[in-house]
Amino acid sequence: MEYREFIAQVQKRGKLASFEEAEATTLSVMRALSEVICRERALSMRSCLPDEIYCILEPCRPEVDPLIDMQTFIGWASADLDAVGMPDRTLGGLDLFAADAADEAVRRCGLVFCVLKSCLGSSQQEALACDLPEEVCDWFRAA
Amino acid sequence: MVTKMDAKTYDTTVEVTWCAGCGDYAILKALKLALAELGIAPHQVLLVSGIGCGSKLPDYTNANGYMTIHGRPLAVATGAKLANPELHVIVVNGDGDSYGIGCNHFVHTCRRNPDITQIVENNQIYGLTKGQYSPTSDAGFITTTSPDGAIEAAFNPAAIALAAGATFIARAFSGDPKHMAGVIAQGVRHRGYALVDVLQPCVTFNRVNTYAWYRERVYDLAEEEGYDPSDRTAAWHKAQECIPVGVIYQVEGAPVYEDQVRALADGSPVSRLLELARAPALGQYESLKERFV
Amino acid sequence: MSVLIGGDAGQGVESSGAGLCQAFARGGLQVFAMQDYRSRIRGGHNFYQIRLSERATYSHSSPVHLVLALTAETVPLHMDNIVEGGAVIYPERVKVDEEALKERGVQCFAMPLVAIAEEHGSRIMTNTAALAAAASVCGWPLSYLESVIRDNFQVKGAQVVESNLAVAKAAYDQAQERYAAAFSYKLKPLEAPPRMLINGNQAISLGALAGGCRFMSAYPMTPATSIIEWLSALPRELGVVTKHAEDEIAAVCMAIGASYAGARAMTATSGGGFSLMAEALGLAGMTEVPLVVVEAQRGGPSTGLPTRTEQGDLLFVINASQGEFPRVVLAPGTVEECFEAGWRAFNLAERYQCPVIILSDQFLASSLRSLDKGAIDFSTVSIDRGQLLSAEDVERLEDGYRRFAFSDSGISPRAAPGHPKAVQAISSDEHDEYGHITEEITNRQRMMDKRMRKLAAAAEEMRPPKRYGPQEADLTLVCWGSSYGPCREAVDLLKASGGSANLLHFSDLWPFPEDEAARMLKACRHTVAVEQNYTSQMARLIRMCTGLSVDRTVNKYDGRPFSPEDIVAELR
Repeated sequence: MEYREFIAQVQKRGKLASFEEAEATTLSVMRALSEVICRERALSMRSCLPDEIYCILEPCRPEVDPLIDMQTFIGWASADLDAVGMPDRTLGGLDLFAADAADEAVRRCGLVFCVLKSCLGSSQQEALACDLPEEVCDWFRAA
Repeated sequence: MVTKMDAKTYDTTVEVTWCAGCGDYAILKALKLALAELGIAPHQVLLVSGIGCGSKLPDYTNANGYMTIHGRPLAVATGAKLANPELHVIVVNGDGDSYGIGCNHFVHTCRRNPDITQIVENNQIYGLTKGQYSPTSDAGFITTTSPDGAIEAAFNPAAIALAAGATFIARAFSGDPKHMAGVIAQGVRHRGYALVDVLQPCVTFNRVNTYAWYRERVYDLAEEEGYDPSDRTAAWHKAQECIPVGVIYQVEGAPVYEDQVRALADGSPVSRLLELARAPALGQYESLKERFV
Repeated sequence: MSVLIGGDAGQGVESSGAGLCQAFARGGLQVFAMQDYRSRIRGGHNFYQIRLSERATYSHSSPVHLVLALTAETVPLHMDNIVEGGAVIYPERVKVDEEALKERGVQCFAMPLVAIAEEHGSRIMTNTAALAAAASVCGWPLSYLESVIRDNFQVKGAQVVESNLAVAKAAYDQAQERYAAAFSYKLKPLEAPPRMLINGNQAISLGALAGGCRFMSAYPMTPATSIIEWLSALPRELGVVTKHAEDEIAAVCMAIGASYAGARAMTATSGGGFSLMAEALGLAGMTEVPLVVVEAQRGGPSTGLPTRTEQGDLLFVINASQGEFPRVVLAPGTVEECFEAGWRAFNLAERYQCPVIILSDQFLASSLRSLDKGAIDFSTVSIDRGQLLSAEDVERLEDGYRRFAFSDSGISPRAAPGHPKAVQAISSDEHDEYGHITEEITNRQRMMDKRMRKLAAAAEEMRPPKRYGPQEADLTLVCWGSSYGPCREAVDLLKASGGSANLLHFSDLWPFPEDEAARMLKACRHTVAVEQNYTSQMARLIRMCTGLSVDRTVNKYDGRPFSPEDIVAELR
């Protein structure tokens, strides 16, 4: 699959407002993935993925940190998400969308996973699923 | 002989109110692992926190905890430690709590060297009050109270701790929870005051210091050939750098505050009071009257 | 009889005064000594006023009979306060307005004090010469002063002791020869067992120690500093841990931490420090951690009159900190009451698991009074830890430990952290029975009710005001805290001149003993609130709690304590 096609699919599936937004989301989720997979796994997917996407996966940690869980994964993945609105006139401070941000982040992971899965064979998908932290693994399988 | 424990021992059923993706989750997990590794049971530890998102950590941990007031956990912790030195006392608070309003206590605790570990959840912003800049925000950081960018130079915890005489100074990144758990365990193991400044992204309010931003900058000191954490001058230079993690400075064997309090030699305020409540021994004070004659 | 020593700050007025007090006390006289000093290390006038009597006294008294003037300034400052026939002893080289003194019938006893000192010892012993001269003209045996010199100077070595003794003898002999006959006010030693000379701060410290306090953190602040100093000087075997903290906020927070861990912990400060502690007070109240705070008031507002006295913080202390929570406020009126408050405060704090404030002031904190040794009776001390769960109690718990368990009394059984079955995480946020943060409506209401119920329980233990004087009187002085002494003496003076007066003294201030106070006040014919503040805070508190107004107020806010004579004059 071509890079632009990959992003376009993410945008379409997620009904995201723009190409740029879909691109930012894709890059965040890929970045998160690079934290939890080993180099071998990344290499095994090289030929299936557009170069621009692979090069985000590639510089993964020499050793995967087994303690990285769903929360840290979401932290990476939601880097592009805007969780604050306008200044709140009633109480002071900013009005939060943070409560929804978690759900949105999970939804967007699902979008990217879905498109990613379509680039991979089933045994590759299964192998990747096993690398993922609990819950993230569930999102991946369900996507 | 340390009996390792199951980290689940510290789990509670209390609902966690942190935003999804907050670095505090990893810190909580790492702390539980460190305590388990060191075989410290829930009733043997006292977590003291201030006010802020991260200061709710004791509420989410099955251990003794005291969530106090903004900026003051180090003082409360010191009092508790002096009253009962048997407790493992760990302070957990944020960068504003520790380096802003609590800075006076921070500096003096470094000098004092009590056997207390402090984990600072440093997200370079004020989270709970919705996004104002903090002492550790970099100059130029734009927030509602720094609309033209923060004017002051960022507070440098490692450098200040070093200058104030701290005997264990370390930094960790919540994106590397395994490494962080190791550093926290080292801090708790260290006899004396241990500062573990944890860089942790605030996913809701800090769009600058993100996981990616930290990842680009942190590097593990342990992997640097020939770095000697007992070298104070080297530590000073590392404290200025952006951004080494791991143990920046460590000196073992420096006198711990409580060990030098002579009144603690034969018992603690808690243990002595238990005895006195049983047997007040009021006769022992008669001779003090002579001081007034 | 009253003796006053006046000089510049840095001249040793305080140590001389204390030494003279001891010399009289050792001869069986009852002593009341009041200090007046400035917020300076050097310069500015200080004085020490000592009242001597055969009977117990509760206050200083004016006018004085003998003045030791170490500086020229002393004379004009005090000459209107010297009786006819009284005298001023001063170094020859100090320029004194003898005419003005003679006009007032006051005698001038100039002496070569500096020369005597230099001849037999050194110039620094001038004060010793002055004290000896004073003892001499009063007919007071030199031996008492000599014993004081030996005890106080032994730490400086035998040479210093011998020199001081020589100076004292020389000055004593000369004063005897020249002036003793002309001075008609004489003092005679009495057969009496040795008495203590003790001030309010020392008495509170002694009481706290006896009450099991083994942790004290503080930040130096006049006039409370001597509490941490006295406790820090105790034998280490007693195990009192003291900490001079980096500021008052650290001091009170350390005490809270220590108390949370299961110790009896205390801090001591004055109004400015207490202002800093306000937030932490709420922490203790909200998390139901026992805490004892000594607040020794001084002249305010702000830095005010740092070394002077006032009763300006009453309403502040009762109300300080945001929100509402139970606290107890005690305001002892005498050194004996200070001793009792020292240990009673801890029992109240642990019983009701709340802050207890001992409200004192500079006058009570630093004035010395002679007390029979038996007046401080350790057998009256009890250590009552309220509903503290022992380790055995915790073992027996069936339902798990809830630090803030609801109860009829509002008091929850408390376990110190450290037992496996009493693991507790508590918060200064509103919390549930376990201490976990919650904003839930019903829980909030119940928790507030629970905490405030404790106040009602504590109110049962608050003592009503005590009366001194006849049951029936034309005039009732209403007072609190340290004005007990001067008011008591004023009542005696009024009685001696044919008047009819009594007093009501409040020493338990909060929870306010409303019913008893109302009953006793209603029975009075004419009430006068005597207060060392501008806005008559006790009178306002009485009205707030009982609806009753006093008939009149007498207010003093110049930083100097009431003397009995001041009060009588105001009432005329």
